[in-house]
Amino acid sequence: MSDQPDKTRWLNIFLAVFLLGSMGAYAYFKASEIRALPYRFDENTIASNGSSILDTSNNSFTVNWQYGQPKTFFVQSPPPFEAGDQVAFKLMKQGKNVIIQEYHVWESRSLWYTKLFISFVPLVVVLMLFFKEFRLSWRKLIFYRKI
Amino acid sequence: MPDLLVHAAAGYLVVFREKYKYLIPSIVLLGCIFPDLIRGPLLLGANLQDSLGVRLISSEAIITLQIFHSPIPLVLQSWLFCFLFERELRLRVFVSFFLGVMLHLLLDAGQRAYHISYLWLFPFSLENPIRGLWWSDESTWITIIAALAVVTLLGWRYFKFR
Repeated sequence: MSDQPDKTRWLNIFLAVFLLGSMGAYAYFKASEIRALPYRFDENTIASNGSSILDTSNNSFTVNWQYGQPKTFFVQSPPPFEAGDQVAFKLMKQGKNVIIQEYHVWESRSLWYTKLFISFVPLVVVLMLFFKEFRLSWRKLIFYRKI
Repeated sequence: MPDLLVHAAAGYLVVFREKYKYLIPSIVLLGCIFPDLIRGPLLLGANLQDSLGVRLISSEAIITLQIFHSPIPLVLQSWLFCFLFERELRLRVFVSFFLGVMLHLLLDAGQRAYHISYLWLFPFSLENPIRGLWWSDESTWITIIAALAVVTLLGWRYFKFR
């Protein structure tokens, strides 16, 4: 049965690749809009998933904002983070000042690299399990189950 | 993004005692890690760019590749993936692979973000409807629980079938 001609297979593959390519192209042309999303102000709130703190004082803090330009926010109490921190925050506008509603100081990148390193173990194990069960026919570009 | 250990462990918990033997375990596990096989190297490249202060890949290209981690493009990728298998296996491959992908997305949905994170509704919307529960650097405890769960289950299997 598996040797019978499989006419719809390549049609489906090309259709899926075409749709994925179209979505990729759409994202490429929307890239500037997507990139600007984190810097969009809502009516009452300003939020960031992670900005470098450039400077702090008793009533303000300055972050690296869109296009690398500094932006200063004025607060009513000293900000709970320091220059050099990478901070996610949610601010509520109150006149010319803002109130820090939520914040999160990101840990150093070394933790991220550690997680990346750990991730190699399951990656290798899963690929080993997969290729233990299936073999690729390069000629037909199809995976066959090993008996 | 929880690390691949957590994603693979979640898949293992599903296939560990599947009664009907319909799912293909290795493909469920592959589905569990698949979304990060593009996003992981991409984030690594972006982090290295920031650390080294060089530009190797344009931000447009990064965003273009990031959308392959969104749910609808992942359905298409699962569809594409299943056509790389024999006809008799395709439906099982699709169900197994997509289940793994769904588990992956479920765990990623726990990650907090104020703005864009995984472009969940792409291409219909660029909004982020999911707020998440924890910041990605706070998820070390999940990694530890996942590692303990896998070690316990593997140990149990080893002693049961010895």
